[in-house]
Amino acid sequence: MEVVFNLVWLIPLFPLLATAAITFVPGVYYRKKLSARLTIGMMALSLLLSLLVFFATVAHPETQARLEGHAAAVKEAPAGEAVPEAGEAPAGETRPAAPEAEGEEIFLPPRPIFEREFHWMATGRLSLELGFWVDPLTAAMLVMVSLVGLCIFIYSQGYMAAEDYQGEDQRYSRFFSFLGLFAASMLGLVIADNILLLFICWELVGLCSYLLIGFWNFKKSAYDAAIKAFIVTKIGDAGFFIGIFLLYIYTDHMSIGYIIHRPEVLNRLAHTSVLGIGSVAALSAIGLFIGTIGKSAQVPLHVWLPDAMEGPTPVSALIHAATMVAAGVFLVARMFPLFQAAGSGTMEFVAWIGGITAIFAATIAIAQYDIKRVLAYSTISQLGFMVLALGLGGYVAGFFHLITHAFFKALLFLGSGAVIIGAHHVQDMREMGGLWKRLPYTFWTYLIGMLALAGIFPLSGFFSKDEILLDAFKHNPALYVIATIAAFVTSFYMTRQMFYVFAGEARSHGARAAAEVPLFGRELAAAAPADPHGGHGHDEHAVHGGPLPLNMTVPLMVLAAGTVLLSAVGLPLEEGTLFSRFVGGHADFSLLVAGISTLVALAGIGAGHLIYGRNLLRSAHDPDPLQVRMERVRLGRLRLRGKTLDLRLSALYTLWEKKYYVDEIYGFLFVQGSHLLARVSGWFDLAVIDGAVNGAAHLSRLLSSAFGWFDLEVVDGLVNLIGWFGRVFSAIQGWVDLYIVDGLVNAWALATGWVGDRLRRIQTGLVQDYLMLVLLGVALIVGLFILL
Amino acid sequence: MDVNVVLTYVAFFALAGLTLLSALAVVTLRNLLRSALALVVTFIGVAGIYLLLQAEFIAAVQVLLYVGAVTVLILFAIMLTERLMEARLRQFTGKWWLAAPLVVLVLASIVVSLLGAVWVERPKEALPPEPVASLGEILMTRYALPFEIASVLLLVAMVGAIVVAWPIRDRLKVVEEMEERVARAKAGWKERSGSPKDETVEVAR
Amino acid sequence: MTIPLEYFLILASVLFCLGMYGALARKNAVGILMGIELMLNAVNINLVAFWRYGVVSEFTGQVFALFAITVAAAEAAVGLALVIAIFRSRRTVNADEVDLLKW
Repeated sequence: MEVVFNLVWLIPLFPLLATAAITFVPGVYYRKKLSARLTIGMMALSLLLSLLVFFATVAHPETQARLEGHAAAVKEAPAGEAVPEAGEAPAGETRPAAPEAEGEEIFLPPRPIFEREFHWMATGRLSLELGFWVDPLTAAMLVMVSLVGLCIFIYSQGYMAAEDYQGEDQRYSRFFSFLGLFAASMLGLVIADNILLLFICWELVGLCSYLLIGFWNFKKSAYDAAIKAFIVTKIGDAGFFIGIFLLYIYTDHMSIGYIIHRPEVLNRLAHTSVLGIGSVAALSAIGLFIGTIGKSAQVPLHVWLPDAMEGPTPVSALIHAATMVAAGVFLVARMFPLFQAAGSGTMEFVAWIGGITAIFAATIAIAQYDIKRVLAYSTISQLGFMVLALGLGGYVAGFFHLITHAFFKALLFLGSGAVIIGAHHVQDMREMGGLWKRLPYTFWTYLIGMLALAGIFPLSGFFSKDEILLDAFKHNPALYVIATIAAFVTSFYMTRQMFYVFAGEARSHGARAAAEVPLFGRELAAAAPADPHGGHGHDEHAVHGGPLPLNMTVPLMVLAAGTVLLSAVGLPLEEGTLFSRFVGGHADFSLLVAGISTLVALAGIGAGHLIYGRNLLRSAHDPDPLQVRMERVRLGRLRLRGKTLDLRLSALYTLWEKKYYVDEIYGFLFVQGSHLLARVSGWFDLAVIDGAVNGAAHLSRLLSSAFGWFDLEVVDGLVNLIGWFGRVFSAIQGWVDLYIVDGLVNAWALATGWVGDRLRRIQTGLVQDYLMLVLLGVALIVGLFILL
Repeated sequence: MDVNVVLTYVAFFALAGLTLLSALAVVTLRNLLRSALALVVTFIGVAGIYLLLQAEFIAAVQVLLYVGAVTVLILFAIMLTERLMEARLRQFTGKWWLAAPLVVLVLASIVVSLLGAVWVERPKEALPPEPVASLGEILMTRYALPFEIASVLLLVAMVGAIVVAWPIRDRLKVVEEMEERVARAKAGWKERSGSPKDETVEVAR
Repeated sequence: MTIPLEYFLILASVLFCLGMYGALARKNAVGILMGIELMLNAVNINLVAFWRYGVVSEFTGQVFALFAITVAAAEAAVGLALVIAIFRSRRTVNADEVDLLKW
């Protein structure tokens, strides 16, 4: 067993080797089939090894004890001790879990059953160690990432062949080399026992995401999306980095185990204050969580994910549904004890961010027409669910949902890719329709994924979502209501999508020509491979590409099977579930909550059926039935400049369709924001500083009239007093008018120009000037040190 | 005072003065060619300082590499870009007046912090009998990997310098020729192997 | 060996600052490169001096100086190649006329 664990580092190495081979060996690079097979083979090796590691983990005495362990025995085990775990190999894909002592105390996850560290570098007293380990969390993630990854790799073979834009073979090879690098970094992230290594892999994952989103970099939208994703997640990474530094400064360790498995360390972190702002634990946890917000696309940094759909669909499935975005949630799960030590405020912050994201993204998904965008917003919303669960202390619930969601969301994304290819590059759902007859495999697997997402018994999504809702129900009623509404909306928009895509009549040529290669038997007559270089949709009737090949439909079936089977480990036992025993957490089941959530999910599907199932679109230009219905409800009237506007409920629909205008708002804030900054500083100069000078002059004038007033008051008395008051008031008003109102307006304009002019000159583009500035900074810092 | 000590001081100040004065000449002379020659003097002065520090090998490398190679490179660069040599061209940026105080400021801060520090001074009294041999040994054992990496770096730099300095027009011509050769080789290979369906480009040796 | 360590360090820092002045004030790129060479030399003096005066009894200081010289040689080669390439395409090597960074 030890042998298996000693080989863990090979898991990320295999795909990395494939990448290296494709990148550095021209003989591989120029053979596209070879590079695809190489990557897939390496990934299969990774999967094999992951499974070995997983079963070795299950068979480990500690795990066994937790798995068999009667609840009671486990409960008694002190949280700090390594809770034994072991288990019978579960029937499904995942395994059992052990309950844990939760509650007031900080929950400590089971200790790793294997850990290996090595020196990376030592400079003076500073020594950095890297290492890898295996604990239940790692074991489960390894299997999930490599299995889902392998399915997606196989699928990509078919997909990329069909999407081959200019028949460039190298692009195909390059795609697989990126995929391999991505898998390697994700697997590395999972086995890292050390925040630094985790961060390195985290950044590599971000890099791969950039490369893959912008894979079709000849499309402007694609490279814009790539840059957007990179920059937005980078904002989050800055927070992550700050968190790492804080932890390192106060613990002198980069090792995760040192922090999360030692109550005394956590305790010290929770009671050490940083500059009086807050405890180390709270600040570093929030820092790490900002990283999660970026990577897992939580509000307000969610904007990159929908745009990331510009990448090839397998990428969307792999990165933006199943694994990469999961890295953010995984980070929170990994550092969970730190979050608990950070206190309830931090946890609540996490939970609310998750809850808001869940409902926010779910509503947007209602009004999208692009099949992938619906799924993108759905992903954001589901990630919100996971974060919500973790924020409420639901370690097992959040993590279980992460695993199940990876399966069914990968399934849905691959299904959508199959639909897109099958319908010959149609992405707008309004142009689809009637595909259930034409793409039966896709339809049935998609249906399974959709039902799992909606949370229908007995699919895995039901159990994982239910655990989250139960946690919310127990700890935070407000969030429970939000999450339940989000669950309703989820099943509603998925039903809408099903009706749009699969029901009714085909509404475009592409959709009418869709077909699949059957699993058994002869190929369809229509399956004769069409000339791949034929007219690329220039001619309305020219449809290129043949039926969906098997290497695209079979992965769908595998994922669908996974989605179904995973529920086996989520079945509530007398104490927890197999999964919760395995990861050493705590899980409950409540018939009430489960009943409510099932009802809610069914209600969502029913509503979807009422609105969309009864009003199937006839043509691609028909309006959305929901929008039509909402149009009929008038909320009120607005009078605006003499015009009367009807405020209808459909305004809400528009709001959703425009994604709450977040992109526009950010565009305004950050692009206009810098202008604004210039204006404000200019205004400060002109209005405040100049104003102060003028104000002083006025003050002296006022003073002199005050003296005059004394003089006059003696002679003329009250009558003049009143008159004088009027004068003072008008003087003040005039002053205000002249200097503040006019001054403001003028200052605004002047200052914009002035500041802009000054700022512009800093950027000379000359190296020497930049060097000079660097030097100036150095001199300043050194000067500060000397002064201090 | 011991004569040896006095001589050491004299040697140090002479070398330091030579180094600094020539360095000043390097950065202030208007004629770039003269600057380059002053640079040679600086390098030699620094080599002398190394000797004073009993680092003979480094001193030798300094003379060989800096005086011998780098200076020649610089002179070549100056002469290849002939216009630069003309002394009447403006040789300093408009911001030298800003640079000078800034540099003095940095110098001041370095010196202040340097003098404020407490150094654990303990000149090695006994150097190994064969310093160069020891140096070679440590380079080949403990620092073997960095040593190899440095050699790769030099190779890369060499290739890079050639590629960068090669006129683009000539480069394109060479690439065209190579492509032609590859195409010919590929055609021949295909004929021989008779596998027309292969979607690969085989670069024949 | 009676010369205090500080003497060498001060020599090195003056040399470094002279080189920096050259890098900042020289107009043409070859001049800037010469300034950088001076800075690298100053660093090497530091390394060797610390080796001579330091408490560590190994040759690490000298080894580092050797590597620094190696890297400096590579830098000079590439830097001068760049100068020539720039000269060829823009007919100038004046650093204040090459402002592609400002786009």
